[in-house]
Amino acid sequence: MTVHAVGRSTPAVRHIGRSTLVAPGLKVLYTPTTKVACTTIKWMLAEAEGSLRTDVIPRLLAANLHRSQTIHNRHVSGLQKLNELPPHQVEEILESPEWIRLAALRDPVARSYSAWENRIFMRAPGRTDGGFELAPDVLRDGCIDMTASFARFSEALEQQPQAFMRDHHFVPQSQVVRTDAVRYDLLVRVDEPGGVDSIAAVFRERSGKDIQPQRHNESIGVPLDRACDAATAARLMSVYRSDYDAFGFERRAFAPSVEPYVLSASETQLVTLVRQSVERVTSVSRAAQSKMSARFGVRQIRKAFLRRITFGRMYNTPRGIHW
Amino acid sequence: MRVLYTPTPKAACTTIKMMLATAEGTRNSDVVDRLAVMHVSRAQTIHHPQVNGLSTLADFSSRDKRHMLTSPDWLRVTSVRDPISRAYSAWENRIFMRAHRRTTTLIELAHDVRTDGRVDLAASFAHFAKVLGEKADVFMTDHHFLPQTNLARPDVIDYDTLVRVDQPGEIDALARVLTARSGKPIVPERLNEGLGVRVERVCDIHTANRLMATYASDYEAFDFPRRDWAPSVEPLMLSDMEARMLGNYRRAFERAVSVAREAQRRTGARYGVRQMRRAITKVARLENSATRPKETF
Repeated sequence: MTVHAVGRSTPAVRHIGRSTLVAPGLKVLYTPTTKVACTTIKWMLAEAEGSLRTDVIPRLLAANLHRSQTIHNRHVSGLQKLNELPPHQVEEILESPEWIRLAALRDPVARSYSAWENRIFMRAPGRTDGGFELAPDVLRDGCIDMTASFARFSEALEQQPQAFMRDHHFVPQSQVVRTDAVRYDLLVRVDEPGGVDSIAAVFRERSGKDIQPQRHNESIGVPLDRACDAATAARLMSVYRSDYDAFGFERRAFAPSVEPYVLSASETQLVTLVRQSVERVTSVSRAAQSKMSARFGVRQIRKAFLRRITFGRMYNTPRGIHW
Repeated sequence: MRVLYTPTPKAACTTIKMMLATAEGTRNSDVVDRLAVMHVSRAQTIHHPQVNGLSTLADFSSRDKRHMLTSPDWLRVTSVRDPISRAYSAWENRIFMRAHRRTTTLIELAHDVRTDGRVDLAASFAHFAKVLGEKADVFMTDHHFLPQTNLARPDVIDYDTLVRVDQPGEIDALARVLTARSGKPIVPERLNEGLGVRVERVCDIHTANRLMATYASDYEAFDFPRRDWAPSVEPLMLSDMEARMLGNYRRAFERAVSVAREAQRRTGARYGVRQMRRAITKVARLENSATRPKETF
C-alpha cells in the first residue's frame, strides 16, 4: 500500500493523516477517537460506504477481544487512511464543501474511566503493559475496590502521563481531533442524547441506506459517579486540561467522597478469569503473527517433505506440523 | 522417574502434569508464548506436549509398554474425583465458560437457563445434567465428560496409587512421592480457575440422581460414596456485572479460538512457498517497511 505525503504538510496534518479515515463514496472524513463510540461509528461508516467485509473476520490474527472490535482492522472496515491518498486528493478532502469532516467527543473524565476500565482493569491488549504495575488493583479483604483502584490510576496518570500516553486510549482528544489542522463540519458529543444518532442520520442521508447505530457495550457496568470522587476527577481534569480548553467541556461536579465500590468475591474471580483469558488471547495472537516469514515458510516445506518421505510418521498431527 | 500417569480431566490433571513434568525435568515454559493454541489460561498450556515434554505410552514399543504396565520398578498412578463434583467442574469449564474449542453442539444442547431474565447457574447446571443423561453419546465425544473408568481403565492398568484429589492431603502425598523419586522439591501449584461456586449450592437431589446414573460405572469401579443432596436449591443468578464479565470472557475466548484456528490453518508446503514468495517479492521491490502481520492474510 503506497503512503503519500499529506498535501498540507504541517505536523498537525501529518499526525491526523495517520489516524483519519476516509469514505470516498460517501465523501466523509472521520477522525476516530478511542473510547468515544469509535467502534459504533466505524461499523456505521463502513456499512454506509459499502466497504464492510465481515467474511474476513475468521481469518484475522489480531488480538481483538470481541468480534465487534475487528472493525478496527481495515480489511474488515475497508476504509482508507487519509495518508494513503495522493496530496491533491487530501487537499480536496480537507477543503471541498462536498465533503463532510466529522469527529466525536466525550466528557474527558468519563472517557478516562472507560479507557482505564478497558485497558488497565480488564487488560485489553495494547501498549499499557507498564500501566498495570503503575496502577495496580486496590484490594479490600481480597476483593477489588473499583473506586480506590481508579483513584490510584488517576494518581499514576497524573504523575507519569508518558507511561500511559503510549496507548492512544489515554491521549487527550485535543491531540487526536486537531481542529487546528482540519475544519470539522461535525463535532459530535456522543455522551449527549442523540449524539450518535445524528451521525447515523448523516450516513443515512449520504448513503441512502438504513444505517442504525449498534451498541457495542463492553463495560462492566459500574456507574462513573460510583467510581470517581472529586479528588480523582480533579486529577483527571488536570491531565486532560487541553480537552477542556479546546472543546469547552463543562467541568462536571463529583461528590467529595464516594462509598467504595467493592466487587464481590465472585465478581473479583471473574475479573481474574477474564484477565487470564485476555493474556492467552494476546499470546496466541502474537504466536500466530510470528508464523509469517520466509524462515517459517522454509520450515513448513521441510516438515511437509519429511512427512511425505516418512509416510506420515513425522509431523502427523496438526500440532506437530504447526510447531 | 519411572512413573506412568493416566490423566483424568477435571481431577487435578493440570496440577499433576505440572508436578510430573517438573519432577521429570521436561517442563519447558519458554515455549508457552509461542503456542498458537488457545488454552483458558497460562497454566493450562501444560497440556501441550511441547510444554510438558512428557512421552505418551503410545510412543513406546509393545515390549516397553508391557514392562511399564507390569514392572514393580514403575509407579502407576491416576487421579479420581467425586463424579458429581467432577461433572460440575467439567460443565462450568467446558460449557458455561465456553472452554470447548472444537464444537458448539454441547453448548447449544446445554444452553444457559434464565430465571427472571438472568442467567441462573443452578437451573443451567440442572438442565445440563438432564441433557447429559438424555444425549450422553454426544457429550462423551469430549473426554471431560467421559466416566473416569473409561479414562483410567482400572481393568487394564494395575495402579499402585489412586489419588482421590478431593480428599485432603492426597495431592500432597503424590508430591512427596515425586519428590522422593526425582530428588527435586515438588510442590503442587494451586490453580484458581473456577468460578468458586460450591457444587452443593447448585446441585439438588434430582440433578445429583441424574449424574449418579450417568456415572454409575465410576461409583462401582472406585467406590465413591453416594453423597446426600438437598431436595431443592435456591436459584443462583448472576449479577448484572457478572453477566457482563461472563459475556466478555466468552467473546474473548471465541475470538482466541478463531485466531488459533486461523494460525493452525497456515501450515504445509504450499503455505511455506507462499511465505517465501512474499519475502522474495519484498526484497526484490526493496521494501523496507516493517511487516504488519495483522494487516496480512
